[in-house]
Amino acid sequence: MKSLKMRWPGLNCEVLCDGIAENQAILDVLMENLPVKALQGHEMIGGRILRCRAVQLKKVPFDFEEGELKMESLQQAPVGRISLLGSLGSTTELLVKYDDCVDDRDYIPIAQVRAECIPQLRKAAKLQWQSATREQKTIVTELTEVE
Amino acid sequence: MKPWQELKKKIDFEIELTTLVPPQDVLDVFRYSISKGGAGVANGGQIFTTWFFGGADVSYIADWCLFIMRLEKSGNFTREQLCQMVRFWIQQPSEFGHFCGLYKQYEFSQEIIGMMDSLEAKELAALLDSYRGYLMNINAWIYQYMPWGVGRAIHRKDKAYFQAGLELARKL
Repeated sequence: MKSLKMRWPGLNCEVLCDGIAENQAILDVLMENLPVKALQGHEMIGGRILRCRAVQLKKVPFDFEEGELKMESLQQAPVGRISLLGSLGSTTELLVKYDDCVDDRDYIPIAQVRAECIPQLRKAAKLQWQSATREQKTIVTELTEVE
Repeated sequence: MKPWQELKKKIDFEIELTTLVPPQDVLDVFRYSISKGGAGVANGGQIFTTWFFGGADVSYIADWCLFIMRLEKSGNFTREQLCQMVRFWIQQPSEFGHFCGLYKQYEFSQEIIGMMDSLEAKELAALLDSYRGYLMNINAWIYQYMPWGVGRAIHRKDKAYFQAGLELARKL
């Protein structure tokens, strides 16, 4: 199973994440595009979710049919779930559930933040929420492959 | 290089510039509250409605691009039908986005619409893929600069709230 690191250099936080049994093919394509940097913000309706609204796939675009991926509602997903929105083209969205959420729409689950990294994830998330609602700091997240 | 490939390269370059640095249009409208085309000026001199309508419209164009890309991939629609979809779903919100001050995305949509009748379906889909990437960058930066904290002054209400209000009103 492939692993990746999600890092917030400006927040001095990082978490390790592992691929899950489902949707390994799309995770493989995402990994082919790593390293990736993306502006990250906070979900504003669905709950406690971090959201990269524009992850640019510069090397290999997604080319998946809608029916060939396993979908999952973020509301039902475990804390630490990493999911994608958009499986065609050169740009996708990446979401990370860090606590309660009510978003019952379907997303593409691809990875899971390791249990021991959840406190770091929540630390980054708290700073993200503070930024989104008060400071409006530019927070960039970096995704890299873990060898 | 064919004209559509030149345009794709131009849009891709703009994507590269705006992935980690905000586009100037978004800074003007959403960070500095400048109404470049006059939107909202005659409506109390405020920028809020331009944010509300302009930001949402432009972000949804990215979704329409994805839908047209999927429909092209299905092979079930002709090139002419795909072009008509662009005219129906993309042209108007892009024009509105221009009125709200998001000029670069309009420049791109006009160029795509201007040449799409001469393109093959796959070439149009490739252009829309790039245009979508740029629009998603705009959307990410709009979310960055929207003053979401103002939501603290507009708290949601529920049944318990209104029931408490009725109880208070009965006591008066």
